[in-house]
Amino acid sequence: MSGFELLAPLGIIAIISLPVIFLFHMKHSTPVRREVPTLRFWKQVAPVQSEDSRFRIPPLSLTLLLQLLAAAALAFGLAQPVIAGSLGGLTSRAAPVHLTVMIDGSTSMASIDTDDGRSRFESARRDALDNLDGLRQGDLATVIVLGTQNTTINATNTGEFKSMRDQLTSMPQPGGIIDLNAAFELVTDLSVPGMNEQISLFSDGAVSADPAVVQALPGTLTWNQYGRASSPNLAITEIIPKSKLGETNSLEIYLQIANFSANPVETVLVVQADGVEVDRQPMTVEPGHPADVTVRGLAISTRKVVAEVQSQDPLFIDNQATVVFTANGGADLSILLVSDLPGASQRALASIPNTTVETIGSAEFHDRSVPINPFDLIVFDGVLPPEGRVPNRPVLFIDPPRGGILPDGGMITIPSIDSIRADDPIMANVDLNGVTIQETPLFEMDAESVPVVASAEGPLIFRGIAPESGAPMVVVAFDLADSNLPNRIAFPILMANIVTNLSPSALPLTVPLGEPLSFSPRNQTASVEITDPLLNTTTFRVQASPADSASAVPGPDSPSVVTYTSTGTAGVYSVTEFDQSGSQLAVSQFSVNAGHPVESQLVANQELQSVLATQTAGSSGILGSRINELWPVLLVLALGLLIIEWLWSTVTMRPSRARSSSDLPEMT
Amino acid sequence: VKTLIANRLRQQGAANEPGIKIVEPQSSSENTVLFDESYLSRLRQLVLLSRRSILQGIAGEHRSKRRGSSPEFSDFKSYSPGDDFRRIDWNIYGRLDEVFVRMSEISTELTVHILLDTSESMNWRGIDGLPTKSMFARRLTGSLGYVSLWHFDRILVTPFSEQLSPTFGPVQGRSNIAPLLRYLTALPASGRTALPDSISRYASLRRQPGVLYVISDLLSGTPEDLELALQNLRSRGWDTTVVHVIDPEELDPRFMLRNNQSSRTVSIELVENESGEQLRITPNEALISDYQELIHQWIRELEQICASENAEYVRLQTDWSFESLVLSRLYEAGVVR
Repeated sequence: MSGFELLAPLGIIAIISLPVIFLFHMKHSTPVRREVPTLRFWKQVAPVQSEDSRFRIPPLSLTLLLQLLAAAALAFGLAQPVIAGSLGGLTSRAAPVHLTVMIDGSTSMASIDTDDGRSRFESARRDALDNLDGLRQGDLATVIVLGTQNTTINATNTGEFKSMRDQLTSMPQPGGIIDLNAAFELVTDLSVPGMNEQISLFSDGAVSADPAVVQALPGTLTWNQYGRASSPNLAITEIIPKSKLGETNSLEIYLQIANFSANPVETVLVVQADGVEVDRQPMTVEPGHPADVTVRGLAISTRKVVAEVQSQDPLFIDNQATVVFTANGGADLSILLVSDLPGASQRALASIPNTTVETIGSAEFHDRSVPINPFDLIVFDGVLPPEGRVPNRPVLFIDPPRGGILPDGGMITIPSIDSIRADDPIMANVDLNGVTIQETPLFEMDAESVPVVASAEGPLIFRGIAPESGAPMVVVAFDLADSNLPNRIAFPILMANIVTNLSPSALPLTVPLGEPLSFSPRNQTASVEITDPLLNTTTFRVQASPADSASAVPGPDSPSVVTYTSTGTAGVYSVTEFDQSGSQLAVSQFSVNAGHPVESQLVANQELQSVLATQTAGSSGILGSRINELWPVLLVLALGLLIIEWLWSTVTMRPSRARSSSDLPEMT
Repeated sequence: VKTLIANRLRQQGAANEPGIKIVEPQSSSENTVLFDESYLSRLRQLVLLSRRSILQGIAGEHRSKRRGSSPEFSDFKSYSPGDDFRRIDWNIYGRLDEVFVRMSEISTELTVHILLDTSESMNWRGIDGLPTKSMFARRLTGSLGYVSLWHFDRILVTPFSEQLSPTFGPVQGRSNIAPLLRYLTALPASGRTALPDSISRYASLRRQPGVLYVISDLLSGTPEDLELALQNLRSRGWDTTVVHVIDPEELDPRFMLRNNQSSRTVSIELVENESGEQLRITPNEALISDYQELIHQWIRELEQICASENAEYVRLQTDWSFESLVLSRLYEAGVVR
């Protein structure tokens, strides 16, 4: 027996029955009053007794002792005492139980360092299934598979228990980083009042938890830990493609290699481009100091780069990292340029690869002769749509006239660039040194707008949400014709960045393992199929806009966002978009890499044990296996005592004699 | 005769059935029939006896020891000077050559006095279901009164506790049966007992002695006091019968003292119902035996006193059946025949 507690401490109030029994016996032993016609003869035969109080402490008889013991056993049973373990099968399991099973599905749980050769996640899942075996009718079970996004399964009867087991058995490891605090808060929210809450956590402990959240847990917590105390690991934690300015025909790949062990590790980095080894370099990675490696000279036409470090560590999936370059899926990006004087903007847009630009005048836009929906991006240069005609598409406003849908507060005369938001994606590799700008309208930004380039008087380039439509927008406030920007190399880069940023098909190149993927499909897309490295396909239905629609008014045809969460497998994923007729619009790819600065650390958090122990101390819970109730034993004990008391009373009671005339004294 | 009596009682509102049925008032703890027809028919067969010639009057049904000139022959006696010559039986003289005088018999009446104990000690019973001693005594008084009145004897019933209460009677004749029974039915029991004083006071109040029945539990005074009272009665010529009414639990108090719920021996606080005096005892076999020995010794002492004072002692238990045991006991004691 490793623990003991009372599930219903108030039940111990029934112990008050003991003094009641004592008082009853005291009253019982109090002299009974009997009326007699005379005391003449009694006075002669009875010795004189002391005149003490009629109420006296009763003698400690066997009857009194048995009754007190039986009452104490019943009162103790009412308090529902439970113990960990059992008393030879005499105890009864506490019922009903709300068992919450939390299985850590983070990337580190993919490590294969268990004794039976399974991954940590597989071992945890096996133990969790064993843990669910103890459920019975009336119990409640909740299984939470922790990942970047948690998966929760509830079951309330035996049929659902079986279904729950089947689901858990076939569930892939979600991967990613888990938020144990959020999971604990979820467990607290899911607790059922009045039920015996038991929480089982199956985790390698490579995670942290807030003691306050742990202490708020509703029931007893059991932690089953997996993995070895020392598990060295080598991982590629970053893979980022770079294009060097001025070298449009070459590509660079930046890699970061981390050593999660106590000693330096010698390894060999191998890089393949489209299946061809392009680099192999031995290296020594110091612990705590990630190695930065840049692979240069890759062809700009490279579609896939795979980097791998050679290491025999428990988590092999983070030894490799992949990046693919088919973000736009090979399909052209359709841009509608609305301008009466297209010039620099048209040239810059047309120079962006995989982009088709259609230019119309403001008159054509106003008379709605050109449908809007086929286009992925609308660029207004020197023109603003009238109120009620703001397209439901990402828009770029260049030199918007004053007095339109964008509120303004005057003019900025000879503005100078005072601030640049350097970390903004549209400013990547954009050098604005020496750029001159003439008189520019002072547009008022709303709360959601962010200045990207600004003068002291106001913004010159800012991003925000377009009025009416709510679509993303970027505003270049000044007139390109009055600036030297179009003549500088920064201009096409800036335009390419803006187009890429506003492109609805902003599929990332890489996604961390377990992280959900969200992206906006093309306007004509009716369905999206995503195929993982294991060739499992997931289909999403999205709301496609009619190709012939000329409406620019925002409505229910808003672009849908596809969120894909099954990124628990490292490798390359394919994204295929189809239109309403089923024709394939584009095929894109992204890669999922397991290497992560946190999850590749396989060693358990040393503080987690003490943090989880605070829950045990706070709730006086039993940290261990299933608990068992003692009330059946106590009930049997009480009944046994009462039977013995009854037998004793029966034996000691004299049989009553029936009076008859034969009892009468002689008539002599 | 039965129909006649019933009709007369019905006219007086005393009975609503052919037989005489006197019922305890509803306020009593039990609705007990004092007399029913079968019992009354047995009573009608009985006649009270007197052991001495204390018969008086001329209208009774009892044979008198006084001899007179009535045609009813009774006996012969030798002639002695002063005898009426007219009573000499010459035929016997002729046959036996000896002078005998013929004796004739005079029928006379009997005056029955009943002293009825109505003290609080009589209002007690040891076991539920049995009559109280008071109720038993009233039923016995009614029985004796019925027998007396049925045979045209005169009867006086005087309840007593600490003092003598007003006397019912003297009455004579069967028409007084119902009033007597109603009187007994409504007679309360209360107060303490002063038996010897009550007997002596009653004897001093009556000029003519008669047949006296003292019906009591005799729990008042010492046996010596009772002896003095009986001695006083004897000296005055009373034919006294002491009827000792006793509850069976008084003789064997085991059941009374036993706890109702179990056989455990616990202390008992005895409360005397007359005085309220209390005594705590722890009953056991030895105590009960001592008690029984004491009370039987007391009874024997009462018997000896009554015998020495020429008074009949009759002990009746309240659990005895009136029709069988009580009447038989009275018969054996020579109270009735």
